[in-house]
Amino acid sequence: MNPEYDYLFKLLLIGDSGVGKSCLLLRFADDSYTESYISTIGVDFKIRTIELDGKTVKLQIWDTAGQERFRTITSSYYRGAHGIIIVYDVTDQDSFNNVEQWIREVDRYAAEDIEKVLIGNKNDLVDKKVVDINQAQELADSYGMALLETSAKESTNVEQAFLTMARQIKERVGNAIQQHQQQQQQSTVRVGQGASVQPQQSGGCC
Amino acid sequence: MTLTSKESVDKLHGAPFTIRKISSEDDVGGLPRSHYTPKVISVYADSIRRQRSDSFVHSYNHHHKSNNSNNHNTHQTPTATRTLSARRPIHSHMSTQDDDDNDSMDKPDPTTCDSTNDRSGFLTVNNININNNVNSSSNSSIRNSGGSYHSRASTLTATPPSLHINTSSSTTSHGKNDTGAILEGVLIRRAIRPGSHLAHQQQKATTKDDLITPSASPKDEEKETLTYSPTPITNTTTPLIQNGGIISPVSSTLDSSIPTPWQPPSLTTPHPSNLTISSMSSPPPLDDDTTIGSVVSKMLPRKDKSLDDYSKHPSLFKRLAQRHHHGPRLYRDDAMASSSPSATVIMDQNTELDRYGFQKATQWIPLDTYHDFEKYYQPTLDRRLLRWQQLLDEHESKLPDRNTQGESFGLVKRYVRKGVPSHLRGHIWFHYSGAEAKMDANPGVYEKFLKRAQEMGNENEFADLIERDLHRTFPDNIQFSKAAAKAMAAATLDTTTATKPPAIDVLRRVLSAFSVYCPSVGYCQSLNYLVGMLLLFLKEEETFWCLVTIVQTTLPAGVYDVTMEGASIDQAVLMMLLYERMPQLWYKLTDKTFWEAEADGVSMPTITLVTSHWFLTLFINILPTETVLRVWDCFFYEGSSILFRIAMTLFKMSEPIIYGLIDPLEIFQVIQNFPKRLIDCQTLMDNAFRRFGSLTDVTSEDLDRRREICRELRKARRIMTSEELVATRHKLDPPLRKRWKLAVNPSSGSRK
Repeated sequence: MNPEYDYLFKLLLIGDSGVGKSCLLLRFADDSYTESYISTIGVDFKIRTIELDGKTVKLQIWDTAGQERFRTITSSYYRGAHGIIIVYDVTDQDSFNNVEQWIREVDRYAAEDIEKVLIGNKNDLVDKKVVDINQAQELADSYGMALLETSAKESTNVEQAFLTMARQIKERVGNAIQQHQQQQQQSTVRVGQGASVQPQQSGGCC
Repeated sequence: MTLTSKESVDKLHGAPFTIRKISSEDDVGGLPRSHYTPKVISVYADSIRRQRSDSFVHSYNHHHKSNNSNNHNTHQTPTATRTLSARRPIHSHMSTQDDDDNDSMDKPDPTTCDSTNDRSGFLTVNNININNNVNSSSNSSIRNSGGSYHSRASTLTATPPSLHINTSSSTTSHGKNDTGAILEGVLIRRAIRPGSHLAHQQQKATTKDDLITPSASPKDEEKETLTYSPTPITNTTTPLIQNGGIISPVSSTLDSSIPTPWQPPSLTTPHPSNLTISSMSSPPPLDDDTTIGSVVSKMLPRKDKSLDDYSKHPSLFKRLAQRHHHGPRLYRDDAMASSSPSATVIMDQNTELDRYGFQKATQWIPLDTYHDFEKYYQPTLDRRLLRWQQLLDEHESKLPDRNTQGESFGLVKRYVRKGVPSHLRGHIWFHYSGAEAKMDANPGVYEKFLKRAQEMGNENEFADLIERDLHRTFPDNIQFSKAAAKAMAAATLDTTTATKPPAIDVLRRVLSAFSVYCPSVGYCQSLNYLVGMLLLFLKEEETFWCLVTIVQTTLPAGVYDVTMEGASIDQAVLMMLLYERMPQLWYKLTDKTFWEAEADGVSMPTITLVTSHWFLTLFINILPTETVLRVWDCFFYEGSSILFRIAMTLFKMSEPIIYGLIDPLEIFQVIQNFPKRLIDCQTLMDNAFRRFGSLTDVTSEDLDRRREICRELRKARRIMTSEELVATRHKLDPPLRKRWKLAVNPSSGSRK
């Protein structure tokens, strides 16, 4: 095994319909933007590989349909994700109000230690902006999330948003590997038979 | 294991096909490279063989003689050609029609010139029968271009010489061979290119009987024949303004407050060669070294006896004679007829649109590939048009009853599977889906619910969601595109009315009315695509009832409901079929058995995220437009089993690629992107019904049974653990248990 990357992170973009999830993904993965985007059904998915602190990180980003009823289809795939990006539209108060509902959805279906980032998109529409950043920051803080206001159209903060997410996951995964190694050492001492599998696994990842 | 990048994965899908590259192998499923293999050609052979077996009772008598002479490649004299063009309804020449119709792939002899002429002569008759008004105003001839065939043309002040290019082509002696169908399309295109010597010859050869007005320049002709006329008819049509290549109607736009009857874009193309997926700009110049004849000869199998024999087969001429006597009548139905002023809006200078108003080139299909496909597909379109025409003639211009016993039993299904001419599509979908009966049984219901929806306005909980999706439905289609609407407005110097794409308001109305009519569904994303596509073929109310029929009758219950349980059950059924019939592929997707995945509720292969999209939009945004329409033809006739058959065909076709992959992500990507390149609808349909026919075959009863099993499993899942559930699966379905035992051992197929 000789992967072209050090880490593979699976990210999920969720949020109300029309907040610009697909445009964010398009901007980040292909660095392009289109006014005429089609509404996403099911999922779309793109890959981008980035360099982070000298490590190659492959980001596999899933873009999901925004309509509420599609959650029944997509939510069962939350589980495999490392990070979830919750997107709202700064010009649409409802989409912000629904953020908590999305968080509940994540808590319900995703892994416990999943990383979350909150993104307020369409920040270029200054005149139409209705969601106050302080209000959003308050919400983000209460759930321990980072908040970024972005514009997929003008390509502001998009890169940073995904990099923030990737860095958070990397830090957590790094800790997890350390913990994992400690556990293995303990377990090899304590348990004879059952431990034989774990050192092999750790040999693969270190 | 080294992972390939996205790009290299894309490469794995196969190079874009080219008409000139013909693989002699047929081993890679639907890989583009194999699209023009002998296997594909054998479809023609098969269809022709069957056509031969059709019995025709009409005698052909004297036609036989002229056919014989034609078969011997006797050159018709110029006099004969002229006679034909001057006295159009001379049908003795028509007997050669089917010769090239059926034999188009067989005799790429570049020396004969008869059949094209004869063919065009026959088609000329059509034009005269319909378009008997000559209007010398170039303005109005542009307005009415696009072949408004149906009798609704009476709403226009002048009926155009819409097909006169083709007419005049009958007077030129540039038919090259018996591959008339291909040749004709190309020759006509050649002839109408501005400055082309052929165009000049056309004009010279034009007699006063021809419909070309003296003032019509070759440039005008090009527009007339090749422009797409997407704008719906409105009650208040005002003169068109031509401005910098943008031709647009100034018409009252569809406003929700003052609904204007929506007419689908004119797709009426009685002339087979007009079935070209026509473009607004000139077709790519033909390489002189690569004549169509030579292309065809490369496409043909070396020797196909049945094809050779066919041209001499009398039944062919009987058939022709029959048509001849009946007169070249096309299906006409006032209810379906539409005639609209043509509007050509060029969204971008380099944008070429297909006949439905979609951009030809996509991220997945380069324009060249599209053009190659057009050339390849044209003979099929021509042939199918004639077949349908004949079928309708035989049934007094009515669609045959679905349950007809006897002669035409199964015929319609076969015809539908082979593709419906686009101008008949709307009616055939509407009729065979059962939507027509629904609409007839519910007069005034649409208006009622539309009114209710409009009264509700934003009170309707789905209004906002619908609104968000209107402009995200077909942004690359001229009917739905903001850019096109802007271009229109600019062209007409009218900033007040024409800023909205014409179809958007209709889309809103149908979706809103439906959300009120069917509250259990309301609005579900993806219905916008269905309505959008339907609107390109049907009128507003018809679209509504077609949508109702799809949601309530054709598809199982609950697909678009709030829970979308019907959709996820269908995904489970698809996975069950995949597990049973393509176990090797299944174990590339997951290590678990289907039953284990279904039991725990979270282990279903991720690929169902992709395939659920396939089913929800009925392959819109998955397959290229023409391919989607071919699938829809069958879907409306045969029901939801078609979705499963096509899905399994897609899996089967991508199987050779998938076997070479290990990373699940790459597999996911292949399955997601592979269908987007499948412009070759012929191969897909042939694979679904013939090549992989037995693999994909599934009856609706079988599907219902499987759906019931999955529904029961889901109910049980709420009260049992997954282990218990796996253990009880046998009780649910003994036959499946047997098959399940026969399934391969997981460990043998999981990794290759």
